[in-house]
Amino acid sequence: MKRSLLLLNIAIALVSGSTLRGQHVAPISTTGLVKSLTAAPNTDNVTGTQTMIVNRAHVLKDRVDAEGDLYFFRRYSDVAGKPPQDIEALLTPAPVTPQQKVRTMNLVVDIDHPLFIVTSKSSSSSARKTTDGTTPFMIGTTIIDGKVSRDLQVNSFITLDELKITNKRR
Amino acid sequence: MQRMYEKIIRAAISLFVLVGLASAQSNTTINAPVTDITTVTASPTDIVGNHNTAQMGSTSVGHSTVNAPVTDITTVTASPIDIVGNYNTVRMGSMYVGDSTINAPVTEIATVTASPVTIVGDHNTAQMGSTSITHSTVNAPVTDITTVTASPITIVGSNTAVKMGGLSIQNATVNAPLTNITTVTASPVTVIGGFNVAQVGGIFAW
Repeated sequence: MKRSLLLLNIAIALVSGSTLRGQHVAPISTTGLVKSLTAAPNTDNVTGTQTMIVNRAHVLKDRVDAEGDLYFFRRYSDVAGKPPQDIEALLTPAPVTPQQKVRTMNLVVDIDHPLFIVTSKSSSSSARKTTDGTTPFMIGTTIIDGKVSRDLQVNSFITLDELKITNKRR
Repeated sequence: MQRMYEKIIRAAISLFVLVGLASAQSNTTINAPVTDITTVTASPTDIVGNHNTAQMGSTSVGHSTVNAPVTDITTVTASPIDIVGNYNTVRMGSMYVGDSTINAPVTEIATVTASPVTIVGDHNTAQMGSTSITHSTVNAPVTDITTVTASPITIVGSNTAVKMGGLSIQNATVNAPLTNITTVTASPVTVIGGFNVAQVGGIFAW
C-alpha cells in the first residue's frame, strides 16, 4: 500500500513537472537572470534614443553587435573619486579599429555633477597629439585608429554639469 | 668683391626657391560648388587686445584639391564672445581643409545656442563644431552635425583650447563616408592653466 502511494506521488510529481516545463517555450539561461538582476543605470537626463543606447550599452558592454553597432554609456558614478588618467580613459571609448567593423558608434555621457580635473602632461591616456602639438583631454570623443574604409557614423549625446580643467602644479 | 657677388647670387637663388615652394603650395583647385550659410543672431563680440580672431561659420580651404561640394551651415544665436588677451581664436562652425585632396562632399552643420565664450589669456582657442582636415586624403563624404546648447566656455590661462563636437582628421585616409553627430547640452567648461586642450564629443581620426 505504502509502495503504491509512493509510486502515485512520484507519478503526480513527474506529470506536474512536465506541465510546468511545457509552459516555458524558451529556456531560461542563468546568464540572462544575472543580467536582469544587475542594477539598472541611472538615466536622469537620458530620454528617447539615448535610453536605447544606455540599455544596449548595459547589455553589450564593449561588444559590437551583428549590425555593426557599438554602444557606450558613462555616468557620474563611473568616474567619481577616480584619478584623472582613469577618468579620461573612462569617459572616452576605446579607439575604433577597422578590424572591429563598426558601422555606428552610439555614445551617451551623462555627468550630472560638477567635475574638477587636474591634468598633467602625462595624464592624458590617449597620448595622441594634434597637429599643433597638443594632447587633448577627451570626453565622449570617438577615436578612429587607422583607415576609414567603410561607412562609419558616430552619434554622441553628451550632457555635462560644470567642468573645470586645470594643470597640475609641480 | 667676388665673394660678395657670390653671396648675393646664392641669396637670390634661395629666395627664388622659397618663392617657388610657396607658389607650389597654393595650388587650390575647386571644380564644384562651395556653399556657406551663416546665421548669427544677437551675438555681441568684445575683443580687447591684439591679433585676436573670432570666426562664426567660416569656411577655409587651402592648398587643397576639391572636386565636389563643400557645405558649411552655421547658426549661432545669442552668443556673446569676450576675449581679453592676445593671439586668441574663437571659431563656431568653422571648417578648415588644409593640404588635402577631397573628391567628395564635405558637409558641416553646427548650431550653437546661447553659448558665451570668454577667454582671458594668450594663444587660446575655443571651437564649437569645427571640422578640420589636415594632411589627409578624403575620397568619401564627411559629415559633421554638432549641436551645442547653453554651454559657456571660460578659459583662463595660455595655450589652451576647448573643442566641442567637430571632426578632426589628421594624417588619415578616409575612403568611406564618415558622419559625426554630436549633441552637447548644458555644459559649462572652464579651463584654468596653460597648455590644456579639452575635446568634448566629436571624432578624431588618426
